[in-house]
This record gives sequence, C-alpha cells and structure tokens, in this order.
Amino acid sequence: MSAAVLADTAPATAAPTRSVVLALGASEARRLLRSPLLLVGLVLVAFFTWTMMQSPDDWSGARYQSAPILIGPLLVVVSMMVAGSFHRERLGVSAEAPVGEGVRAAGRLVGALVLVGLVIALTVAGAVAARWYGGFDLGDEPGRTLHAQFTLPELLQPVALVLLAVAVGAAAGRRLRHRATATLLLFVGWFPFVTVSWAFQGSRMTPFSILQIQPVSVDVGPVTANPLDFPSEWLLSPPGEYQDHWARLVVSGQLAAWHDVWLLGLTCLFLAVALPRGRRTALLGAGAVLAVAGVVMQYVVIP
Amino acid sequence: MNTPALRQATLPTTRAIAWSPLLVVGGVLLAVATALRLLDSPPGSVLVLGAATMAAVLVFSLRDPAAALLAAVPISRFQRRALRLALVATVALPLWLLVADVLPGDGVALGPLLALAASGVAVATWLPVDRDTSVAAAVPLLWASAAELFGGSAGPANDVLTWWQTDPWWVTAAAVTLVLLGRNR
Repeated sequence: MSAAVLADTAPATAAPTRSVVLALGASEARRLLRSPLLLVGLVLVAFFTWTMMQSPDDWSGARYQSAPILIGPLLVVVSMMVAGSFHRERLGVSAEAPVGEGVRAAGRLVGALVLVGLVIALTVAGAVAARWYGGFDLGDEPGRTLHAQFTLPELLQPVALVLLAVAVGAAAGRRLRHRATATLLLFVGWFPFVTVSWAFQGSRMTPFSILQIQPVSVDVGPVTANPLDFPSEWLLSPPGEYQDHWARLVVSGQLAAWHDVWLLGLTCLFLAVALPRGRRTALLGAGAVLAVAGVVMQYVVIP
Repeated sequence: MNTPALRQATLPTTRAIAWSPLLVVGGVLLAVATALRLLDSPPGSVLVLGAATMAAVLVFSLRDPAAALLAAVPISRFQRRALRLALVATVALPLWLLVADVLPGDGVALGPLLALAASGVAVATWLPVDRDTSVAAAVPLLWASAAELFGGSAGPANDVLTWWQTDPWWVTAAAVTLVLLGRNR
C-alpha cells in the first residue's frame, strides 16, 4: 500500500469512529431514558423535594441543608442503569462486534450524558426556583438571613456527583461478574452517603465526603457570649441540644469548588477501572492528581 | 429427604454458589459500620437498609444457572435451594452480626433480616423459574426502602410497610409457610 493511499484513508477512519460512537450513544441514551428505574429515581426526587418543602419553618437552614440530598435517589439509579449498560459488555457476543471495546465504552458513556443533562436541568430548575422564591433561611437571630442562595461551586456539586455516579456504575457493571452483585454493591455503597450524609460533615471528614453539605459550623464563643458582640454580617447558630457554644455558619465557595475537584478526581479513577487497557494510565494519573489536590486544598480553605 | 445425596451435593454446591455478592456487600457494610463507629455517629438507617441488602444477598443465593440441568437429579429443587440458603447463611449471618456489633448503638436487626429474607424466598418460590431470583431479591430492598422513605406518611399502609420491623417473627412464619406450601412447585 502506498503512502498516498494511507494518507487518504487515515482521516476517513476518524470520522466513522466518531459517527459510530455517536450512533451507539444515541441508541444507549434512548435505552436509558426508557428504563423504569429512571422513573423511580425521578419520583423519589419529587418525594424528597416535597418532604424538604414540609420542613418546619422554625428549623432555620433545614431546607438549605436538605437541598443537596434531593438528587440522592437519582444518583443511585443512574449508577445502576449505567452498570446495566456496561455489564452487557461482559456478554460473549460483544467479542464478535464490528467495533472494539473502547469505541463501545465511549458510546455507552456518550449515551449516559443524557442522564448528566437531566441532572443539570434539575439543578438549573432548582436554582431558578430558589431565586424566584427569594432564597433560603439560614442562621438564627441575631445572625440570620432569609435570602441565602447557593454559590456556583455548590450548584456544580450535583453535576460532579452524577458524573461520579456514571463512572462508579460503569466500573461496577464492567468489572463485576454478576449484575446483581453490581446492583447490590451500588445500593449499599450509595445509601450511607444519601441517608446518613450528615454523619460525614465534620470538619475532619467533610473533604472526603461524597455529598457535601454546607454551611460549615465554626465555634466562635461560649454559651455565655453575647451574640450582639459578633459582627452583624455573621450567620449564627446558638447553643442548644447539639452544641454547647455559639457557632458561626460559613458557606465557603472555595471549599465547595475544591470538593468538586475531589469528586472529579474520583470520577477519573473509577472511569479508569471501567475502560479497557490503553486508556487507563492517563485517567489514573489525572484522577490521582485531582483527588489529592481536591482533598488537600479543602483542608487548606476550610473555615 | 435424600440426606446422603444432599451430603454429596454440599461441596459442589459450595463451589457453584456465587459468593461475590455476599463478600462485596458484607465488606462494604463492615467498612461503613467501621466509619460510623470511628465518627461516633448514630447508625441512622444503615442498620435496617444493611439488613435489607444482606437479605437480598441471601435471596439471590438461590440463583442456580444449572437449575434446568439439575431438574432430573434425585434432589428436589426445594432441597437444592434449602442447601444453598443454609450454606450462604452460615457465612452471612455471622457476618451480619459482626456488622451490627461494629455499628454504633445496640441494634442487631436479626429478626428483620430473617423476615425480609424469608419474604424474598417465599416470592422466589411462587414466581416462574426464569426470573424468580432477580425479582425476589428486589423484594427485601423495596420493602425496607419503602418503609424508610414512606413510613409514617403512608396512612393505612404504614403498618404493612413496617411489619418486617414490628412483627418480624410473624412475617418469617408466614413466609416459611408459603415456602413450604410451594415446596413441590
């Protein structure tokens, strides 16, 4: 074969590969959107939202702190659906397919972007609704606001989380022999982070948490302190059943941003597990750098 | 009961069982329990949802890819399933007791675990053979999740949602009765 022929054929193979990936992605996206699991996830998100709206008005900050958990059920079902998609890669017939595993995996990931888009749409809708209704209450008198809004890095957390859910599902589906094992592992792996997410919010633990909930509570004075002596712009939490001091509530955009970096690092690491050899090294390296930088910087910037 | 044949079947059945769900789920639950213990945090819903997951693992252990081939052997499907359950429970129950012991608080949830597992096995007994274990393994998860999510806000269905917690031994007895009634299916 001459060099001229090679030069002619080289660009021609790139475009078909892209079109194959897009075609596979479109097919996968249609399959994912038809899954009854997705409907279950959306119903549960609606139920969680309704439950959040019923929070007592005298519990300041309840809605602000509940909002990040709302997409929890959707994360679980996204992981399970993507696991089902990648588990099909384990069927013997896939070895006879006209395209390689790398292309098929890319197609599955492109298809899963429809779920990422869905979470982005829900997040944007939530942010717009929060603006429309004037925001959330946060803090207690004399340090209280009725108009708290999420910072941009906090709003990006659901996006980073759904990317992580896709990567975790892909890794579990591709690497575990039984689909039931993957489903059970994803259920048991996600539910502590969703149902007892508050357990992972201590200052030492929150950089490693999956669902990070702000604000961060900072001890600023004993029970006997006069709250009127604190700067008037501080949001405060008084001594009570769960704390024996006055605390300042701090919403840190920097902390949330570096937490997003930690989540993206984890996403790269799990994708490295899911994808075939040859694509792992770069993802492992990038994932390790992002995860370590995310955790270290969260400890640096945490109030 | 064909005891000598069952004894002979024990070793091959042990090799044929898919142990990975039990080991993976048990390992994750133990890690979560250890983390909550180190954080000195209440177990919250981990105890009940963990019991549900472990029950689902027990039900899933009934899955036998060679069931059609083994239909001709002198050990009935009921006996083969009982053997599988006994073998997996030998590992699963001590593992669950260890998880419950490591979790903060003094809950054990052995009764709810058995109630959920028995319910799943009862459903598997009466479903058609092809997809019985997959559907039945979802029963403990769905029942416990529904109780966690909707318990207290489901009106008249509240009691039904929490029967496995409030009356685990009655639920177990009813499920075992259903299994025995379906022993010749």
